[in-house]
Amino acid sequence: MLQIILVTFALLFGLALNAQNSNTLSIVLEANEAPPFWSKTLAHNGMGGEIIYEISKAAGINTSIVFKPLSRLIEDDTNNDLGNPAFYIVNQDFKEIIPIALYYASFYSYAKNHKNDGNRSKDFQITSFDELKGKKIGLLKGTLIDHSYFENKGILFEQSYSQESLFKKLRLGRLDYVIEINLVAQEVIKKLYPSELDNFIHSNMNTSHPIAIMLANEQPNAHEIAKKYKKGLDEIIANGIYRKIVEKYYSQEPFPENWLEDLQRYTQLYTLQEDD
Amino acid sequence: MKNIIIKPTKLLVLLMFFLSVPLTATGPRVSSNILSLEKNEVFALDLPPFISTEADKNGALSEIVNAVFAEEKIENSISIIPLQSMIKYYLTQDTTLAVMGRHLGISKEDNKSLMEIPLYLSNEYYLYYKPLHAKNLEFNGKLSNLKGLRYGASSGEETAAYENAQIKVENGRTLSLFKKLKKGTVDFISMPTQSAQWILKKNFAHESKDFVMMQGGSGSVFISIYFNLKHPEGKTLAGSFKKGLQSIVTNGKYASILEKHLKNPDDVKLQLEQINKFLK
Repeated sequence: MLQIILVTFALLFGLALNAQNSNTLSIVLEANEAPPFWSKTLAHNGMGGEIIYEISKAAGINTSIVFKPLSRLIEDDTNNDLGNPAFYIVNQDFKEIIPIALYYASFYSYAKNHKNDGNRSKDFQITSFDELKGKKIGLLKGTLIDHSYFENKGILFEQSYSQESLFKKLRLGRLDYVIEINLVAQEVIKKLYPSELDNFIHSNMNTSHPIAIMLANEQPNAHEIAKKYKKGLDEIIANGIYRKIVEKYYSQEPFPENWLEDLQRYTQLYTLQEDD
Repeated sequence: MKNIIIKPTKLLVLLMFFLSVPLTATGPRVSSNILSLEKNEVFALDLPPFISTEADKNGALSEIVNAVFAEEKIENSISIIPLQSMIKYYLTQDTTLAVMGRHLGISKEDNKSLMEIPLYLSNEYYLYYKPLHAKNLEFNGKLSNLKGLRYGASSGEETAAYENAQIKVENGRTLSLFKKLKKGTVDFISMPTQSAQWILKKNFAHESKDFVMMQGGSGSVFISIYFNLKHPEGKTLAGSFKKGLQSIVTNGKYASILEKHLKNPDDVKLQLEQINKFLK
């Protein structure tokens, strides 16, 4: 008799678990390789991936990240995307945009090439465009938005398809500065010139950039899912998990000042209305 | 086995697309606001070829606005934004000097603290997608001729006239309205002629003839700059801007910028008449 009761209980418990599993939302988000923010070779797919993993755990959503080349992500205007919304929203309409993190870019310089420049110390800061006049600046293809503005100011740009090639040219003195994302630059310099980390100095730029989950217009229940993601994000910020993840990646610098305020600002900026 | 042959023109379009695509969506975006400078920021809603990061000098109206500020020796920057809802956000910030664009969805309440200076009078036309409408759509100056159809309105556009004419309204952004026409989720849209030509050439080059313009213009809309009077210098700089605009209209710069971008002398003549009426 006891055996029958136990078996019945186990069956009911199993059914309840299955029912719970079948109610779990499964969402596919698409990203392109951009280590250390997104990479299939990193634990939980990088910094953005770790944040999404924890948000999803808190929200009870089963989220998977699929990696594709950026051209395919931009071309597809029915998918859910990850990254900076500015790269996608000209081509695609989204139902919800949820900023989850930030990134910062800097002007990188190779100190040894500026021996005659008195101010080329570790804490140098570029504060005006006049300082860039006549200088040659390297950046990744597709990242220059306002070409004519800089052209008018006499600033020269060289665009490249490879981050490594930019830093090699910087070291050789063929470029005066390289504009790159701080965390990406750290990785590239560490890989190419591990014994020269101190020779690459940087000046932070004014603005942060958002990293967001973008839910397509075609995503069923997008509003409900976004609400859960936002709740999950609030939870991991409140319990300290979020800060731990960011600090892990910003191990060489302090936790960026104004991070949470900026994240809040982007949340307001990307709160879409029905007619957007 | 089927041979796959890509025509050279198609190949070129594909190649251009892949070459113009950035390498990462978590990468730097290098625009005029990369340095912390004390300057007067204008937020402009994307509308090619008038306001667009893809157009020369960021579009005809961006170049005109920069020329006006330069005339008055005022340092400024223009940030081009893709969403109309962002305009609403920036208008809540008293650090925003001005916003500019077409159909900004400015409420009556917001309008009280703004000063509008028109830059360009956009004459617009209705467009529809011919393969989905074997029988031509006819407007002929009467919305009642389009009763029962679905209108694709720009985000922020005033749409009461369509609803009154029993026309369903669905909103979208400039490029997505064209995609909606093609998908058949809307039946017709209204666009400035130059914007329609730009978007069709860039995004629908092989099927631009399928998008047909209806007879009779759909109306005229001012593309304006709105100075934020909550900005500490909003009122003063609006006054300077109006003065600078007068100068570049008088010295021929306004006309030459429009002529260079839009290549339509008749339109330039019309714009000069309009802007002079406003400046009187």
